[in-house]
Amino acid sequence: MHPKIRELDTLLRQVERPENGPHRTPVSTGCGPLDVVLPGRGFWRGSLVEWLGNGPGCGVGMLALWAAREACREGGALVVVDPQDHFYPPAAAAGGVDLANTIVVRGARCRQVQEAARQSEWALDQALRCPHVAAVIAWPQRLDSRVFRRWQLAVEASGCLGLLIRSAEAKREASWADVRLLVSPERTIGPAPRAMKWRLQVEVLRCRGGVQQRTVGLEIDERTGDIHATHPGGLAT
Amino acid sequence: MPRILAVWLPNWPIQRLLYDKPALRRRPVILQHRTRRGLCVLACSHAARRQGVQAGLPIAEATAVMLAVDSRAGREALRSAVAGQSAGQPAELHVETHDLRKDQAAIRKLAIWCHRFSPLVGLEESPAPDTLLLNVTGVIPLVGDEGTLLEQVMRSFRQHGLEVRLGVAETVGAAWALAHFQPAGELDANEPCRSETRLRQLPLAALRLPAEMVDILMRLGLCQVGQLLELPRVELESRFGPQLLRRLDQAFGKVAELIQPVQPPLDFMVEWLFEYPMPQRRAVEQVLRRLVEQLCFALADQGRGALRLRGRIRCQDADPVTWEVGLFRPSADQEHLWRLVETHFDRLPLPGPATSVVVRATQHERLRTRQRELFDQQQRNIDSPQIANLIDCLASQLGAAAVVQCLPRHDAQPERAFRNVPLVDAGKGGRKGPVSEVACGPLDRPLQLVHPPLLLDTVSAASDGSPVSFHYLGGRHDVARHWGPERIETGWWRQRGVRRDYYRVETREGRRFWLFYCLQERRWHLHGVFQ
Repeated sequence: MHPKIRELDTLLRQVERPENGPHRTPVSTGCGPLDVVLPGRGFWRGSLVEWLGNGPGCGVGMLALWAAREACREGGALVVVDPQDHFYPPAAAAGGVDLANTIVVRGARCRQVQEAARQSEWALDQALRCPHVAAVIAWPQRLDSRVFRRWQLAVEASGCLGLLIRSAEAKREASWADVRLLVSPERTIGPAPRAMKWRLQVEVLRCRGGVQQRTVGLEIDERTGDIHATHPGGLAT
Repeated sequence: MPRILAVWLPNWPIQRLLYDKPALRRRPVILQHRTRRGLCVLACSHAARRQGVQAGLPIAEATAVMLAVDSRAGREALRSAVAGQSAGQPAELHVETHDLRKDQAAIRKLAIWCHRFSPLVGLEESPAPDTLLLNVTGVIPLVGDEGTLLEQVMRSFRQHGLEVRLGVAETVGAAWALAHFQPAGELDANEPCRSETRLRQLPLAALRLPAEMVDILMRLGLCQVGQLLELPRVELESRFGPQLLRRLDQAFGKVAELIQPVQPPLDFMVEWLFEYPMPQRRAVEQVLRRLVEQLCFALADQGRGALRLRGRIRCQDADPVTWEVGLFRPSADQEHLWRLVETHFDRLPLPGPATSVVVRATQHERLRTRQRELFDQQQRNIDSPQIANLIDCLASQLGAAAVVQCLPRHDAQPERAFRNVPLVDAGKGGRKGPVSEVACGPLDRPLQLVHPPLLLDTVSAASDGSPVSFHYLGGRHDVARHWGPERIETGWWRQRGVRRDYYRVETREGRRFWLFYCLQERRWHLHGVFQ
């Protein structure tokens, strides 16, 4: 290999290394089996994580919320940007989120849908820039690449963990997120199991620094909320 | 030599009531309060007093007195009418419960108003003050002489329909005594030596002593202040305690007595008047920025921070343009406040050339300062300055109602189980108190609530009433397992009670939804998605 190309390759690898950022400390995903497969055993502060939900009722928001809960453990506020007014706080509180430390940005009263979307984007941008915000959860609909890049720079500067929950249809779109995950429910074959557990599957579509496995099967206990891998070592089917 | 002016407002509760409700001036008025003997008269107007009502009389008796007077007056009126003469109708009695807080607030307002006569105005030491104390030491040369000042004060109060008695002396105690016990005709200025002589002739109550002590002293044959001065001080102290001597010394100036000043509320307002109407928006913006800076400087100087800013731009031949900015926590930071004001200004159309700009801090609080900690992790909560700035910024752009804190409520009806409390809600007691616990499991409630609940067109149910399949978003969902029913029956007192059987269902695809069967409508609804 040409020395110049080798040097360029080395530099690229250095840039790609997640621990290079100013706020690069790991934070648990709130989901043990997922921590195992991610580099640094969790997400990096100052990064964007894109959660893609494969259809309704797949539990993607809940997993994102638990990650946000972990990010706030060491201090910092949680901001929920919810322009559609769907966020149900009692569910978040039941999941261990401290509502006293949570700011919810509801839908602005705008006549035009585009204006409302722009306002939400702006609110998300402001929250991501705030150094005392530990995590931001949002449900952006469509994303302009420039806006996405701006958010990435914002989280890098502030050290905030940005959690963007989107539909699986966004899989085809370009992404500036450090980690991109696809969450799908696991199909029940045959008679329904008696165990009080919800089975989900998380596919790591993209991750800076690479991953050990691409798919993780999860089993969530109804009563305690404990999460286990469906197969030892976090390997899924 | 200090000169203190005492302004006594006799029968202050009644005066205050009549000032608030001028329509009652021609009617007999009684203020009642609850005592151990039941409801009694606390104070009454001149009209009621003329009819025989006195303070301390039980309300039943006072009403009976007034009814007897009314019937007598009614008979006289009837007799006059029969004789073809005109006679005034008896005025109806007005009875109201005494409100001490209103009295206190009103006299404080009056004290602030009195700053036009003296820079130092206070109230007498009493739970129900009715006397204002003004230090007029350096003021008298400005108005001419003491007599002119007294006339001005008297005239100003009378213009507001308030009856006052004045007393001027070199001590607070003496001024108070002269205002209360000096005969009404002798309102001229008192020479120092003369006021001391007068003080000696006044009754013991002029020393502001408790009524019980005055009663004992009078039973001992002591009626005037001068008589007390002739008695040995040691014996007076041993028999009546230190209070008697303290009051005596205060009245004669041997012990200093300070007036506790009533400060006028701080008013933070800055204004700019253009020499000629200014059509350039850029110039108006510059002026506005400068005013915000001035306001911040004034606030910081007093250790205060703005919680609400209100601005007004007057325009030529058009209505003034106004805006208002609310803040999450008090701030006197120029850059931060200007950013918030600028957000509003950018959205304001100016209908014409601006003639003046006014910015006022309508609500302000003491600035909260906290020492920095070595590791600022502990400060990274919702009360940190950076978060406060973020909240202000968001609320300024999106509206105060859009930036909220969600507090759980103890209500069984899911959509009522929390309330959105605007964080920028100064003056309305917004975000306060701890957040109550939520008593449900981590997967009992969906993160995404569908509000209002979505009516499901097609649902097939099993014999036990549980759902078997339903249609949502154009697809059929077969229920693999379910949890429920969870009967929620509440809200009858709100006139719109709910009776619902909730089911958490998991479809064959592993998706989870929250459905309920409305027992009133007998229909299925989707209320949440475990998203």
